[in-house]
Amino acid sequence: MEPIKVLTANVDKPNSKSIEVYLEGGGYEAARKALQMKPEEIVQLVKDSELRGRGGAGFPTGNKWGFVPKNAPKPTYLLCNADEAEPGTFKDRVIIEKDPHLLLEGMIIAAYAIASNPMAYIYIRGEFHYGSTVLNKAIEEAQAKGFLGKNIFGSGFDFDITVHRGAGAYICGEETGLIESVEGHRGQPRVKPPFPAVVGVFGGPTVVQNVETLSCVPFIISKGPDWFKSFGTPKNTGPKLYCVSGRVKKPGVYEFPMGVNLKELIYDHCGGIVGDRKLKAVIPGGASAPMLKPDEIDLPLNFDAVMKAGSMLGSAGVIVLDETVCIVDAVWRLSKFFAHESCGQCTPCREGTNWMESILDRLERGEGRQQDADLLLDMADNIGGKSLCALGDAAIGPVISSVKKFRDEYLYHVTNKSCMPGTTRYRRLDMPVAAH
Amino acid sequence: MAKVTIDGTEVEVQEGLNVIEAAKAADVHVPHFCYHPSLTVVGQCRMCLVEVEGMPKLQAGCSTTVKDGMKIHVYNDKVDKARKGQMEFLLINHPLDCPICDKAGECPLQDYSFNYGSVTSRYGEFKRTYPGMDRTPIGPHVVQNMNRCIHCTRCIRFTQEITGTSELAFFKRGASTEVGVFPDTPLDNWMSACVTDICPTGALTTREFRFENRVWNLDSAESVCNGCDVGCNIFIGHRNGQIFRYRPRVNPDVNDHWLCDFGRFSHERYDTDRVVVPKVRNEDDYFGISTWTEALDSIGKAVRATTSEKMAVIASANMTNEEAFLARKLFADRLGVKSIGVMVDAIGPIRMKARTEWLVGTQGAPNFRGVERVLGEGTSKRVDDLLTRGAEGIDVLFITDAAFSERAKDPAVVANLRKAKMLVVLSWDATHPLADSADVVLPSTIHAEKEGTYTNLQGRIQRIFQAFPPKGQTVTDLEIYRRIGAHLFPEAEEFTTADAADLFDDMRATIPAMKNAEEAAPAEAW
Repeated sequence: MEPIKVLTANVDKPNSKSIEVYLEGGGYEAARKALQMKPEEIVQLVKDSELRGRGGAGFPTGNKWGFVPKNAPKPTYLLCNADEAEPGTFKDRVIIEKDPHLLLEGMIIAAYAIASNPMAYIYIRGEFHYGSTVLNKAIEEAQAKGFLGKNIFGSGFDFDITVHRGAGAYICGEETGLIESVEGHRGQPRVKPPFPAVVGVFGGPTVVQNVETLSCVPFIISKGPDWFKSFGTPKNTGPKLYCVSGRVKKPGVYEFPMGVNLKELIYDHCGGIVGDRKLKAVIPGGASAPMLKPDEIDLPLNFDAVMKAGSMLGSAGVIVLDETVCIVDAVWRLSKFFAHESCGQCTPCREGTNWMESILDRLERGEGRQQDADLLLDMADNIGGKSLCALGDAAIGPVISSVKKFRDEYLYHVTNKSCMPGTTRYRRLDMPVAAH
Repeated sequence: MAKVTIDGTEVEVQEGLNVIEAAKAADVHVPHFCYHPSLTVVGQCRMCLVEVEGMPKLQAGCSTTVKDGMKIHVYNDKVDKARKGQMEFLLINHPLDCPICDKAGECPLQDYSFNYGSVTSRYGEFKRTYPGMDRTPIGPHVVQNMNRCIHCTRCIRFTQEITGTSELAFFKRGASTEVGVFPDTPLDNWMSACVTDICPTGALTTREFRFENRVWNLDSAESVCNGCDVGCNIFIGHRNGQIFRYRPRVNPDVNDHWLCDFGRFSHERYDTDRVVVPKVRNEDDYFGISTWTEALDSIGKAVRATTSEKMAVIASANMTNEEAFLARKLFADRLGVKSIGVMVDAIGPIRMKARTEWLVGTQGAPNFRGVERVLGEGTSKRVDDLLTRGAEGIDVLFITDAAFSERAKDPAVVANLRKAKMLVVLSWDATHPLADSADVVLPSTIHAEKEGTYTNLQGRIQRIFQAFPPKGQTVTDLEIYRRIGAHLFPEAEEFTTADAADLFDDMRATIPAMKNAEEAAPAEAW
């Protein structure tokens, strides 16, 4: 499968973030076209395109827009989730920094489709300071051209976008955590129901969409759902950005039709493993996805196939671990992240992630116990599906899969009080976790 | 209405109720920590997980609303495993210091740990502690031990939703999340100690009750707070005739789950010297301890020597309805005293949140409305005249409660009242100035030692029960009026017994304003 250039069509052009470059490539024509259509028609087009949310859950976008009640007493909100904080995921950043107008155009169309007079925020993580300046500049440019503001394209549709910077919490990338954060509260997820489509930001109906999802929308309008569906397989359609990181020769963001083969991606497009070493494990969908062993990676990277293989596509952040990586150390690193990012409100996640982290830390220090591997599995079972939001489920993904698939390595740590021969710990102890 | 099956029992409950409330209808208890009926639902503790047929994951009972035909399993193996898991998570970092914890004995965490905890621990790491936060006074009444906290946020939600003062909040995140107050804003509001009631662990305790007593050693009596006219329902926690604490008793119509700090600690007024024997001033102006016979004799002598016009009675808003009624029988009906009055101090306003409305207490005694109904409206002016102009020309002045007003402690007022030839005072407080200057002091009872009814500001008549018997030679106020009556009128039938329940029925039959009493009273309080 060859790489394509749909979402990334502009990113290699010089000064691609400016509106002039975007307009040269036919920018804002889709929005102009959409604003002459009826909102229901747009929702139908998106439904027909079988576009699924790119943030991780893969929920059908058209259905999500259809849930928004019409004529709600409070304003309807469109939130763009640009809180891209999952370790191993860096796809949205490319769009935000290199092609912000694609996102803005997608938001104009999405907003028009869900409500007559919507409000919109782009919630961008605090660390993306440059991204937020790019977005603010892009919004100014769009306002100057009349693409944002009052009476866009003479259609009578008023719409504007506010950029809201986060303050450094992974959990604010969770739908309801993001809503709380936008409201100015401590970023912690809300209990569902009510779902955001009914009661969201400031009590109004709210649609939260990932950057990449919104960026797909203009193409559905301009080229039609059938063209969109020509990428990928049924139910898993459209162009997709894959972020490959870890021990590969050419890490980076790659665009393919949905469903590129993982093995092909690693060995053909990314140049294989650094130093031509052997592959040990692949995390296919960002830090929260369960690991795959080398014999499991011959599969198309789309939502359903990866789910079937026991992992998840998530945000398509492919992390490649080679044979020199100590699995326990890698999982400890991921667990430390989740323990640090747990918001602390619900019991299993607050206590469980921290407990898992300390057990893994103990194993790495050579103080492991025989029962630790089973304890980790049983504890993960007590977290999985019991937590308030999905962070608990995310935290157990790498732990469960690694204990099941690399149990010998765990036991080696217990009996020999060190990592397996040939593997090394990758701890940058001189770099403490930033205090945020 | 929705028909739901809970653990095999089919019950019909209101649609939209959550599983915890619906399960109550089937007499099934769903364990929970963070859920509280009067606070918003947050679904944080994950203890109330239940299995709903047709849903792949376990659902939190607090945030799941019942629908018709739902089949819910509160107790099965899957739920049990999950619940034990949550209990383990809650306990790994809990200090397990029940032997020195004030909450032990009435602690949900302790109770559930007996049901779902493990005898041995699988936790082999160091416990998380909050150095410097293990005995922190976070307000005038509340002491915090953060190590015991299970992060249920009930206290935070209480300050946000009930008092609206928002002193408490979550700080930090993840495993180091802590509940705390903002710098320079202590937990200082008029209901601050309620957070200790709703705290499911010993993380929040009151300074006043800390280390005072083990809760299982305390006896409990249903009563009504006598701090103001709201009449919050309470439990009196007492032992050996000493009150250790007041605890709110749930009554959605009056105080819901709450109790204000003023009322909660108002029992501290009883930590004083009590009058336990009658005292009589003799001809040599010697004021010493005496006997009931002598005291009644000297009252009888004075009453027989004068006429009804030259007698006056200052009743008290602290009296129960029954006491007021018997006093009326004695003084107004038998002795023919015209000048009977009752007054009350203005305080507050004290706000109290019932389930549906805010009540505002403005009177410093529990039963002004009831006593006034019994004695007749507009009698407070008579008391005011006595206090300001003096009891000139009055032969016998009865004061049914020395603590009838704060003004009675003013030396000028005491001197004014002293102008009466004979001053008879009922008092429980031996240090009260009136108890020193009276001619006859009769030992009376505090409200924990008597039974009767109070009428609160809603007109609701609420019963108090006797927590412990009166001290020493003290008898209940009803018995005092009966003894005086029986002494003066040996033939009178109404002074043969003084039973509160009989008097209540009699009062309802006699006094028109009290006729609707039973309708006004909440049935469960009777």
